[in-house]
Amino acid sequence: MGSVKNMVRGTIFTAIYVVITIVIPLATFTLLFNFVIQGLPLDFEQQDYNNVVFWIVAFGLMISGFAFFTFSSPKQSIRRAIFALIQVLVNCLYLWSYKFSGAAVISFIIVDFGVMTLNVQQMILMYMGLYFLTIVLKVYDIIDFTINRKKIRENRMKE
Amino acid sequence: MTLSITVVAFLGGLSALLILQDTDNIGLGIDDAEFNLDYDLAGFHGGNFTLPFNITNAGYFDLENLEFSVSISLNYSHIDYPVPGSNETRNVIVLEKSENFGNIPKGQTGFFNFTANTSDFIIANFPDLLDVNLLRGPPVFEFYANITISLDYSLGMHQLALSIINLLIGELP
Repeated sequence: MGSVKNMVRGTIFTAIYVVITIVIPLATFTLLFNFVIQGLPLDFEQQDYNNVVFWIVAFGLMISGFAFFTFSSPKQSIRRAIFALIQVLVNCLYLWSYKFSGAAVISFIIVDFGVMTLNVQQMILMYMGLYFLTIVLKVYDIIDFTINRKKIRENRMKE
Repeated sequence: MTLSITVVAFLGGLSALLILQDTDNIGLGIDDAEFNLDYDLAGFHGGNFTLPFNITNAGYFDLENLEFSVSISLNYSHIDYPVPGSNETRNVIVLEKSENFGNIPKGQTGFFNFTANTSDFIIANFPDLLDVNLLRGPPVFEFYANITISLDYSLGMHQLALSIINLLIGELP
């Protein structure tokens, strides 16, 4: 019964991560690329859009996949801690992909008007800081779960 | 914590875009702008440039670090340049200035005056009138402005810049 519950939880969290890492960013970028400023449309290279979409989908799928393994693993298990750590590391790569896909500094040509630039590099750096702290916590979890493995198993058996 | 940062980031990004969507949010007083030059055969003596503008902060957070940059270039035909017998149309920057107008609280409109005076002009870039092909025009001189408005949202996490390129602001004669 516990394993079914874990699988359901894993599936639910996978769906949540698909929404957070793929659906919302894609909707945001699609909205942005169709934006009208001061009554004038934006002009951009189709390649830019494809590039951004590719990296968002690629890393989004990886994060969602790891989310399944993380959340379908038993609580306080070493497996869960390891997958959680990998998931955070992939999250860092996901954020980094925003930078190297060109999504961190987006420039649009506003037809017959000028140029608009949106720079979110500072925001990405702040997220990287947050993820660094999360990595420290996840490493601590792995050590904790390994050292207290016997005790955790005993508690799990009692439940 | 990540979720709260995500909400702030999303609202900040949305704020930055909201300001651009409505045509009334950024108002450049081109009709009220003043551009005076004291420029003759002896050279450039002085000048000033004034451009009123207003920005409405339609976003969810205070708008910070509003910077207004203006670069004015002079377009003219240079006689015997680059080689004798040929005239080339040149574009030289004669004014460059950036000014920081601080913050605008959310929901409020800031009214500002961008001013540049003689010290902001790049005197060395003004051509000698004897080198100017007066038969090209009218107009002999065209003045174009590149205007950049940059601003920060949500503690600088979102930096937005809007540039207006090659805006014709004056002609002589």
